[in-house]
Amino acid sequence: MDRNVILGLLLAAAGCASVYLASPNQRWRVAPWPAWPARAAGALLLAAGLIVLLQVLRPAAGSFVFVHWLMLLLVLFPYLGALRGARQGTG
Amino acid sequence: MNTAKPKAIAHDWFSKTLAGTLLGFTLSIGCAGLFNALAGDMPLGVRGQLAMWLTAPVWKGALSGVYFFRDGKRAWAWLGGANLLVFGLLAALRLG
Amino acid sequence: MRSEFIRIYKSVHTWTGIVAGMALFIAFYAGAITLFKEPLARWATPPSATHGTAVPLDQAPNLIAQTLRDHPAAAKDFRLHLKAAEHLPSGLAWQVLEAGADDHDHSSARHFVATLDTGGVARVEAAHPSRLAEFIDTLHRVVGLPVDTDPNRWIMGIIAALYAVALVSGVIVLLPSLVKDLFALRVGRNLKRMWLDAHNVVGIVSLPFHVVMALTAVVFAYHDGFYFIQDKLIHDGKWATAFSSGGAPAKAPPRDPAAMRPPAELLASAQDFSPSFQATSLQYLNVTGPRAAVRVWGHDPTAHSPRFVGGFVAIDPYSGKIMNVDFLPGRQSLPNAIVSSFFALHFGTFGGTPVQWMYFLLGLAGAWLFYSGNLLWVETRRIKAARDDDGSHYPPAQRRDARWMAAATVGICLGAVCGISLTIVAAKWLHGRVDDLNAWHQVLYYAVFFGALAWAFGIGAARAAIHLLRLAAVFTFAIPLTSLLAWLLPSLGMWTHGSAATLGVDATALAGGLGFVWLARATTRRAMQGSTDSVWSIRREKS
Repeated sequence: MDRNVILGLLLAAAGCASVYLASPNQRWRVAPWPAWPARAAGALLLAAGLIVLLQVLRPAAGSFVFVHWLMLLLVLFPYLGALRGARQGTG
Repeated sequence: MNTAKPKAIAHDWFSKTLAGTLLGFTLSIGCAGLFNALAGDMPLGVRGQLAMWLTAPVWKGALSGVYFFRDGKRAWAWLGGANLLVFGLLAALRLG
Repeated sequence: MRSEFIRIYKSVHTWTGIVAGMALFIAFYAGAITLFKEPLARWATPPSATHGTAVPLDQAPNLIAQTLRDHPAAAKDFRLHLKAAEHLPSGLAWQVLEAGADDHDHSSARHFVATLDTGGVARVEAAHPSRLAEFIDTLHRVVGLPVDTDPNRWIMGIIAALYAVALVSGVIVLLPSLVKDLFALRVGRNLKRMWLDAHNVVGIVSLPFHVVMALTAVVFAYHDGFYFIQDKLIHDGKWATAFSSGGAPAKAPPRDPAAMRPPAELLASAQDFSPSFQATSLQYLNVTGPRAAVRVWGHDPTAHSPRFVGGFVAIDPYSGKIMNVDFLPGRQSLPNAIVSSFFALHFGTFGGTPVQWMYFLLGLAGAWLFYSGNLLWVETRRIKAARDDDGSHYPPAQRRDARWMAAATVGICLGAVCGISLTIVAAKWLHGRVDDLNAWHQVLYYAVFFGALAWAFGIGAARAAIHLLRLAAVFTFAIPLTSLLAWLLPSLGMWTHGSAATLGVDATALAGGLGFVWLARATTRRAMQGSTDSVWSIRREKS
C-alpha cells in the first residue's frame, strides 16, 4: 500500500477522533474536549487527510476512500466508548 | 403566523403507497426521458445508462416522501401533476 | 416538522424495517463475506496440477493456437489468466453455458481449462471449480434465496425498495434529536435507550453507504425492466438495436487466430495507454469472427473500477489497436466514470485491500443495524413487571408477537450465520467424499438455517440465541481448525494453502469465532441475570 494512503488515513482518523472527542456524547474521556478548538482541529486534520489521499488517488477514488473511512471510524468510536464504559463502571 | 389548528393528516396507507409506487415510477421514467432529451450530445450507450440510474432515486424518493401528503387524494393529485408536467415537457422538447 | 409526520414515518419505518430487516441481515452478512470472494475461492480450491501457477507469457501463443485448433467452441470467449492463484488455471479457461440458462445464473455452466504439458502439447480437461464463494455471493444477491433468477431478483428488488423507504423514514424520525444525540451510545439500565442509540449511530453515520446500497440494489434487481421500458418510451427502440449482437456480416470467412498479436504485445499496448493499470487476465472474444476483441482486465490502484473483478481495455488482437476504454479505470469519460462509480460504490472496488476491509466492517455493521432494529421492536413491546412488585409475583407473560419476532430474528439471522460457516467448512471435509459438492453446500446451508429457525421457535428466543451463538462459534472456529488439521494430518486428504489470502480467511474466521464466543457469553449473562420480564430471560422464578 502506498505510504501516502496510510498517512492520509491516519490524518483522517486523528481528525475523526478529534471531532468525536468534541461531542458532548463522547465516552472516551470523563469530559469532552473543548468543543470549538477540537472541532476546528478535527476539520483541519480531516482536510489534510483528504488532500494527502488525493495526491495518490484520483478525485473520485480518493474521496470515496475518505468518506468510507470516516463512516467506519465514526460508527466504531461510539462503540469503543460504550465498551470502555461497560468495562469500567456500570457493567 | 398561523394560529389555526392544523388539520389532521389522513393516514391513507394504501392510497398513498400506491400513488408513490405507481406515479413515482412513471415520474422516474419521465425524468429519465428528460435527462435523455437534455443530454442529447452524449453517446447513446452511456446516456441510456445514466438515464436508467436516475430512475431508482426518483422512484424511491417519491415513494419515501409520499407520506408527507395530507391525504391520499392529494398524493395522487400532486404526483399526477408532476407526471403531467414532466411528460408535457418531454413532449414539448420532442416536438420543438 | 409536525410531530404527526414523525409518528407517521415511525410507522413507515417500523413496518418496512420489520418486513425487510431479516432478509437484509442475510444480504449484508453474506455480502460482507463476498468482499473476500476471491480469497474464499482460493481457500476452498484443492491443490491441482493444472491450477496455481501462471503460464509463461511466451508460451501462451502456442497454447492458444493448439486449443483453438482442437476446441473451436472456445473461440467465442476464453480467458488467459496472468496471475498465479490456487483457483486460477495455469493457462486458458472457458465455460460452456447451458442453453436457456439465466445469464446471471452460472450454476449450470461446464468449465474447461487448457494447459501446456512439459512437451509443449496443450491438454484440455473439464474443471470443477468450487462454487462455495459463488453460493455465498448468491445468498447476498438474492437475500438468502438459493438461485439468482428473475423472480428471486424481483423479490430482492422489493426488499431493496423497502430498505430505501426505511432509510428515509428512519432519518425523518431521527431528525428532531439528530444533533443532540449524535455519537451517543448510552449503555445502562434503560435497554430501549441503549438499543435505540446502538441502532441510530450505525444508521446515521453510515447513511451514505446504505443509501448507495439500497439504490444500487434496486437497479441491480430491475435494470432489465428499466431498460426495456426506457427503450420503448424514450429511445424509440434504438437501445435494443444498438446493443443486439445481430447484424454482423453473415458470411465473413473465419479468421486465423494464429495471426493474432501475442499476449505480451497486447499487454504492452494496454500498459502504454495507461501506465498505472495492472492487468490480471486477458479475455478473448469471438477471435475467429469479424469483431474479434481482447479485453485486458485488471485494476488501477489509483482509480475506481466499474466491475467487481476490475475493469478492462478492449484491444483488437489482430492489429493491437485500442478499441474501447469505456470500462478502463481512470481513463473513462466523465459520464462513464459516473456510471462506474455506482458499481464501484456498491462493490468497494477502489482503494484496494484497505477499502475491502472497510466495506467488510461496514457490511457487518449494516447487518447489526437490521438485527438491532428488530431488538428494538421487541424491546418496545416488552410488558414490564408492575413497579410495586415486592417480589411475590411471577414475571408477566410477554406478548406473543414479541416472542415470535424475537424467535424469528434469532433463528433467521443466526441460522444464516451458522449455515454459512458450516458450508465453508464443508468445502474441505466433503471434497472428494461426495459426488456433487456444490449441491452439498446448498443442502448444508439450508439444513442449518431451517434447523436454527425451528429450534428458535421450539425453545424460545432466549435459549436459542445462546445455543445458536455457541454453534456459530463452533462452526466458525472449525474453519481455521480444519486448515490446521489438514496441515498436521495430510492423510485426511485435505489441504492448507500457504498464501496470505487463504491464511487470511482462517485468521478472519478465528476472529469471528472469538466474536461469537463473546456474544454468546454476553447473551448468557442477559438470560441469567437480566430482568425476568423480558423475552430474553430464561429465569422464570419470582422476580
